[in-house]
Amino acid sequence: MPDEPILEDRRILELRYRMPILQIREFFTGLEEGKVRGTKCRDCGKIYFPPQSECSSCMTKNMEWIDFGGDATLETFTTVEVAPTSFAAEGKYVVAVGKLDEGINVLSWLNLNGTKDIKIGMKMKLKSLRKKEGYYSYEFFQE
Amino acid sequence: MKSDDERVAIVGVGHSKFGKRLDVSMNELGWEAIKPALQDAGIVQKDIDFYSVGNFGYWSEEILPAVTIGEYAGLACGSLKTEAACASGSASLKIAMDSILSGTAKIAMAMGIEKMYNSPNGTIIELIGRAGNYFWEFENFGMTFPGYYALYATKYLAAYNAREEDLCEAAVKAHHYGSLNPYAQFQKETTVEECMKSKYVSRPLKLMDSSPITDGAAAVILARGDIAKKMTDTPIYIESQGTATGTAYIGRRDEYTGLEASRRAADIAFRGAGLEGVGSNFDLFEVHDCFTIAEVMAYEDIGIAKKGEGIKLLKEKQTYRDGKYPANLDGGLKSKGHPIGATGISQAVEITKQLRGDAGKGRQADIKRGRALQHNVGGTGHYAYVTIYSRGD
Ligand SMILES: [Zn+2]
Repeated sequence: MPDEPILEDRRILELRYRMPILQIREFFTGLEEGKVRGTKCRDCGKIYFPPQSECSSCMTKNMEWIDFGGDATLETFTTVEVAPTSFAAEGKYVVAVGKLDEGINVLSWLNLNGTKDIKIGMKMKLKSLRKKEGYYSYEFFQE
Repeated sequence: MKSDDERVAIVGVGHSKFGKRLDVSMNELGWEAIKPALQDAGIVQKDIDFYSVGNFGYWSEEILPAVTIGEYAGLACGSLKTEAACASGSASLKIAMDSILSGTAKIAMAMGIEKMYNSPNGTIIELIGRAGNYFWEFENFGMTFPGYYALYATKYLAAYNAREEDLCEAAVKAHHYGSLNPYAQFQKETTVEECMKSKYVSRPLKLMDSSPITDGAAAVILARGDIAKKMTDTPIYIESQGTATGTAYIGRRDEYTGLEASRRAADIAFRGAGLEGVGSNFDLFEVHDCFTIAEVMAYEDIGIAKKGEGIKLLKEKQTYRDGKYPANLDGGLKSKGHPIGATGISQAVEITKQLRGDAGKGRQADIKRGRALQHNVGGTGHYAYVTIYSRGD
């Protein structure tokens, strides 16, 4: 089929969001202090990750921050081979869902320390880390 | 038993050619589906009281497709755009159906459309990847649409001791029926070997496990049951629809070998149609096979296979036309194509044709019970819509 005539858009839109984090600021300060945190409802005991500043079942703001121990078990994983444009510089990366000992599932990257032997059920550690770009994140590390 | 004026039926269908459609604009593509739908129903634009347009958008330039398409098509009644990710078409169907059930419309149109090739591939991968939980999954971890389903595939293969080859069987079936569907994006057969040789997009899922990027549109005309009977000899009734919403954050799912929202939506749909479950009540299934693993999980979530036995159903060819549970005889999302917002309506068009006995050579199911089920998932189990259709006999 011949290439159809296309009008290339002359108006370029750059999207860069400003995402409010005031209500969960302790999550980000926690990362800087080497902690990965969630919130826990003092009324019903429910743990929230991603953290919420209010418990939607109790309808109260009676929440506390809890620091996760970091011990986790691998639930499932994938190696992303075709990445979105904004991750093109990262090369291939492994995304994992890990179950923390607190019973919470977390999705993040998995650092393999050179090994290729990944097995569902293996032990991992969830840690905060400073990325080379300077911001803080959290990732799993093979134990 | 509901009386005719408490029911809604499909009285006209239209479907564009699916594929890379850089020969048409979004409005022109929409008209390609609307025109045959109007002609099939034997009505003109002013007969329509309300219309809805399923569309995800972002990759195409028009932000108000319901309005731009309406203008092109000569529609001026009330309208809106519906978004439920890959189930936007089913959401469109719901709104149009509800407008009739509420008494505000007698005849309504539900359409769906997507114009994905108006953006480059990288942008599309980026945009669908963002459609999970942007803040907690994309921002730091660059999740992709195949990435999410790959998390399910990894877990499923390990849990049930299955192989990537087993998943490829779904691609082989999809391409077989796609090869018989003139509207399909890919009209050629494939093999397990060819599927296995294709490149990984997100391990263990390969290119041939994945539905393609697609431009396409589909439309159905709905009418109140008593009116539908006067319009056509073959109204196809919407017996029930079940809907459910899963969690955005994948960590909040309690399992990774099925979609809980799909099961809830199916239960609601069965109850709404007065059925105990899937049983042997259906002649045909349209299931959401955005990836091969999605088709396998769909079998188990709607109940035509027990947990872990979806791949067995494929291997035994039970979801081929002559099997016990014919599924996706149009090639499915995998081979027909997956224009996000159009998919749900495309499935409704296919079911209508099948129940009318108009599906075409080699892919017409044997219609005995006169009933079919549509399973349409948005995102990765984020939205779930299950709709049950019947000939009303
Ligand atoms: Zn609470």
